[in-house]
Amino acid sequence: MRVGRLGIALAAASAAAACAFAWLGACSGVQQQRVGIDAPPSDDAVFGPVADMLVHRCGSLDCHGQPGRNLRMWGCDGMRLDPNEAPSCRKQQGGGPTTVAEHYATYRSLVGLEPNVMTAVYDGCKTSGGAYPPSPSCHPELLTFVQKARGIEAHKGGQLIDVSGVDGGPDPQDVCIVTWLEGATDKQACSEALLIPSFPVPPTPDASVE
Amino acid sequence: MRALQAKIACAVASALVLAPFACVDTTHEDAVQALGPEQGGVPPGPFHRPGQPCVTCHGGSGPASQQFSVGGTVYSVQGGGQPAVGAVVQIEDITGSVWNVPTNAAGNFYVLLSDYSPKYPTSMQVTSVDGSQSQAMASFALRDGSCADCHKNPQGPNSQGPIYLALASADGGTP
Repeated sequence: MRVGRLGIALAAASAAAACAFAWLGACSGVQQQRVGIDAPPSDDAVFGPVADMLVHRCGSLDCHGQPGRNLRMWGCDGMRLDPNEAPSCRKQQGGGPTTVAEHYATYRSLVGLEPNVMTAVYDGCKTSGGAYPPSPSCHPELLTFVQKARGIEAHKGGQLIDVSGVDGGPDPQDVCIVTWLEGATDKQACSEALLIPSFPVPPTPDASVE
Repeated sequence: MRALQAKIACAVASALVLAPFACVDTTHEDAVQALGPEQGGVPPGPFHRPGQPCVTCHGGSGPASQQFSVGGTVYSVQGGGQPAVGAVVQIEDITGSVWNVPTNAAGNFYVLLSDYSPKYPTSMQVTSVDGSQSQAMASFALRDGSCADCHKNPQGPNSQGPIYLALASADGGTP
């Protein structure tokens, strides 16, 4: 009889311990911990030109400048971070230039999209030192956003980057992105990428364009 | 054998019951419903629903029968409600193909898909009837033919506001 009571007591104690363990586990789960992403630099000198290129090329209000997108981008060519600013780079239209805070919001959106893949890609690319094409260990194509831009993965916006090059040289959009993934952004390439797309027909000559 | 027949009958019946639901695009239906009824007693036609996203209904999924590639509304002055009548909207696609379309008395313009199907991105410009005023889009459209999807009223962080020919001056008048 004593053994029976002892058994019941032990069983009850075990159950209580199990519940306590489970409760503790529930309250100190993964969401309480910081998850590190080994990503390319976020500082504005390195990512700012990339962010400007991305929002110009992909961040219009009808594409990635929408709150409903997985990959969201902020800037004066599209969605604004400041609720009092309009999607325009010009003050007289209620907007203003893209801000550092918008660059950083775009950065967080981009590196947080596939954090594990971003970590793996950066680990393989950061030794390339800004070379284009990068070293064999660097695989930007593992990232979905690169696949979509290059037309490897289905993309409603179509193929935006031509990895075979444009006008006899590398596509400046690809150079801008890949060198950032190496941690050494080619700012000249990012500036050149702002001229894409180029429309063949100039605006009507007699029109006083704003 | 009877069990197999019963399974087949069950599968066919399930398919018949579920088929109508599989064909309903609830997102599209919601978008159409969100536009509300016709406004101001204007019946469906070229002058109806100024400022609304035309291609929501005229995009091939209904309820409108005519399919547009591009459509929108132009106003005379930024922030004003006066339509820009007779203005010319110039659309250019990335291949260099250009289409000009005038605005009507409601400020509305539209392009039939059968007439012009631009290859995105597109660049746009609007010029007044006398050619004295013009505005060009600072960015470009990447895929949306409904101008009002991005040019919603009022202006805000996700909308440039309605399309206009002239900027409002600081005192609220025309420049």
